[in-house]
Amino acid sequence: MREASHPDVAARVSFEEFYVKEFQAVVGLAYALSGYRWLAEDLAQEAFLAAHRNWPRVSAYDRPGAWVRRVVANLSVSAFRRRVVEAKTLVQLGLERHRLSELPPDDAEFWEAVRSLPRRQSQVVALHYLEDLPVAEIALILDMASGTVKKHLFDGRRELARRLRTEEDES
Amino acid sequence: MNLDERGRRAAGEIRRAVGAPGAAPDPDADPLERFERTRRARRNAQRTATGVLAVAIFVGAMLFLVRPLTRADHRAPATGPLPPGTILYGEWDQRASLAHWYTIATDGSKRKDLGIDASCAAWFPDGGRILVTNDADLTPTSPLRPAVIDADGSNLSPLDGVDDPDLNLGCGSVSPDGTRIVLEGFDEEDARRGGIYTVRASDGGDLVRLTSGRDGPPSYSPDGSQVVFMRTKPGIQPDGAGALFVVDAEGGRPVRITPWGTSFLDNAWSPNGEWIAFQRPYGLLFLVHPDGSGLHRIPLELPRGAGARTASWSPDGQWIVFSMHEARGATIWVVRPDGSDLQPVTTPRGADSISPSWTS
Repeated sequence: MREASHPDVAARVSFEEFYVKEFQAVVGLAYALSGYRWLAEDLAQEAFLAAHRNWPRVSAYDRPGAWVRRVVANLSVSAFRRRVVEAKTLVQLGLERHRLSELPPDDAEFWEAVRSLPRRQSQVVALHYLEDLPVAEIALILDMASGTVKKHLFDGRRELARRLRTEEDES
Repeated sequence: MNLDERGRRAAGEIRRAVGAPGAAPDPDADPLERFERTRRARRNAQRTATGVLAVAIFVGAMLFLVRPLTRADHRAPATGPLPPGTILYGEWDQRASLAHWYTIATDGSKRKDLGIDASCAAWFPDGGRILVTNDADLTPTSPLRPAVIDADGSNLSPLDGVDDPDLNLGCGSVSPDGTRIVLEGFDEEDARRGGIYTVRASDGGDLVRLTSGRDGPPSYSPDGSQVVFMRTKPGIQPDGAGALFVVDAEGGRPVRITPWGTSFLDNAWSPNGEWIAFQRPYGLLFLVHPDGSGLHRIPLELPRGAGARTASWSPDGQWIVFSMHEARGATIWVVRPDGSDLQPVTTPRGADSISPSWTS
């Protein structure tokens, strides 16, 4: 690891390490919440660009990863913004003929059901399954009280089980 | 398999998908390299848009002087002159996820910056005003609503007549008599509220729901009796695609008029009511009759690697105006419905020009 010789250099090194460490997980969250693999990377890049622009402040947080996850979670569930982005990006992708990774049908159905939940429930449930995070960590990411996270998780899982006709795990 | 087991497996598939070789646009590139490229590209796009304008003016002048000496190609002037009129179009800003809106004469002159950023914009039937999405007033506690501006971009008037803090009203169009606006509606917390809605054009009040579903964006028929829109549903491929539906403007059962997977985003009814133009994934323009018959592709002769999107009609119904997307950006073009007489309206500026609409 390089040693920082200047505060600005130290901040740049830290962002690089932060980006490499967090990028795939943030893309995964964007994929789960948006439903589009190709859009997920775009949304993740938007979130990291925002982090980079605000790095002196973001890097001072206890959990910079929580900040960028909050940004991408909010970007991903905005159906309206997503639709406008599609107008440009999908045509471009079609022209470039990228091969897009697809999920197996059962798993695609699971995430479709997650996305059909109310916005906050879908964000809580996605973080719960994707990263196996404790309630307190999810609360930090989404800037809500732990009790609220618990309620969203309880209601969201119950609704998921109903829609997927699956038994909840009571443990 | 219980819910948690299913969830853990589904999570594993997400992680596999985002980490899988070949799933990213540049599989051999380091992720940080891709980030730096994205950052440089955004910065360069802003500089390019400014710099290219000056170059485009110079090049345009030179082309005007030497045009009679060049060999004909697909970008050569068409045989038929364009009728006079004004085209409204947006330049997409990737960072803001909004378009900045302009008008331009059909001969490419008189380009005017309207000074407004909005997700969508469309002419009122009289061409004196423009319907826009009021993105400037969108906040976490204040939903999206339509607004009206004058044709020169001035006098923004919000249409806030609906008192529902959770229902967003987005892109749409104005009825031929100018009294109603049809819009796509959505609730970020409750997907069941999605659908097509209408409001009064004078103040945005008198909310009426026409459909329930993942619907939008809607357009009126030229006689105002029907509305066409795109509907999506889970599992439809390719990504983002759906089907076109038609519903009575007073409400009723929507009728699907194209196969699933063949429609993508915007659509437009021809002035004589006989055709609906729309984009088929990705980058192809199609026409279909309102009863679903006559589905066919407009045979555009585009440059290699180019695609077409966001089509609408000239007031006389003799032309289709659309956005042509290429690697270097997108420009506004017109073409006859049979694919002939393809010609540009705007010049390349390194920008992404989208969603044109034409008024006389």
